[in-house]
Amino acid sequence: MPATGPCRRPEIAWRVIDGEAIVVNPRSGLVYPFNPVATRCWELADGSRSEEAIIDTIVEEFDAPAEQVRQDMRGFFQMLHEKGLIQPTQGSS
Amino acid sequence: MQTRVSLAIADLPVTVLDDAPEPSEWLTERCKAFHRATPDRADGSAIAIHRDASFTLALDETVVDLSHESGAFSVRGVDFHMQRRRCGLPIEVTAHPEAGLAGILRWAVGLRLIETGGLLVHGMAYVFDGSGVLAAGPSGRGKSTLSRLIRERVHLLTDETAAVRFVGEAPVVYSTPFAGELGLVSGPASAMLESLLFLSHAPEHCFEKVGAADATAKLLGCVFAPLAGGAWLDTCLATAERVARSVPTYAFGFRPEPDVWEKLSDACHRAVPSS
Repeated sequence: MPATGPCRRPEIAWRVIDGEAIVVNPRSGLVYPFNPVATRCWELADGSRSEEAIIDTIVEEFDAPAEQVRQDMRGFFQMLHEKGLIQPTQGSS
Repeated sequence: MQTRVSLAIADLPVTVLDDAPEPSEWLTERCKAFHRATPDRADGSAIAIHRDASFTLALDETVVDLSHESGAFSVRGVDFHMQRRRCGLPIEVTAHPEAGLAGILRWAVGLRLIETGGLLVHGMAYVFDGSGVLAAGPSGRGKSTLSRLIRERVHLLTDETAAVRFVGEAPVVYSTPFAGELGLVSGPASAMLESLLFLSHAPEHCFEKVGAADATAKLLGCVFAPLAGGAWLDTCLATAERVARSVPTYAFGFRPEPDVWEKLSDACHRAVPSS
């Protein structure tokens, strides 16, 4: 079934260490250390949830101002796209 | 005429078979301390290099194709093409007549270290009072500078490229013949790894503890070769985490002054006399 939301690219290697993901893009060889919020977001980005659904979950789980979290998460997803770490969602251009 | 030399690098047997008309000076002289008596067979330790005058130099970046499931890999460098069809078979290399042996061997050793649970790391390393310290960093972070500043006080393992492997549960840091600016090749030597540092230049000396996740990421950034994909990359990640969890890890910013040893000894060797 095609992904309906942000989905980690299968070739990306990652590992969660003490609650923080280390993500490696084999195409660029670049290593990305994620903080706990970004790590949770990354874990949820399996293609089964929309970007908004993931952000809602993050807002629920982390004790932080909702609007700030939403803004940060949108920027984070943008970065994931730009760095080629997640694949385009169905219907996106 | 073929050059045949057996080496042991970080306790890995490496048999070089090179059909270059003249033996490599790097291999026969600079690597001399790493030579070992060899069984006369070409097994998985062998790296067979065929020099080809018609080899076309590549202008783009190194292309790496790894398939860890069978242990097969292919590396296309600027002046060589290296491949292994599966684990246990010799590594076959076609190379330009002028291709440097050190560059070829560094790839081969780096890959074989990964599959045996080790890492080849951009870093200077030394032994003091039986304790091994690995100070890792990409180019320009001060490996040669630090090596120059402390070489009279420690046994320097390498100024540029160290190997890390586990002996049982203990991480061990090894010298390698892949020297840096100082051209120092200490010969085969190793020590239990007691501290892992990540180097940078700074206006003042400073030590800062680094957590396991950050240390893993920093160490991955210093691994020689391939963050190129597949299960090799997963293995790299797992080994980097294992190393990072095994020893204290610090970010070490330093200024290039002789008193850097006092700072290092305070942090890593506790109350060691400074003179």
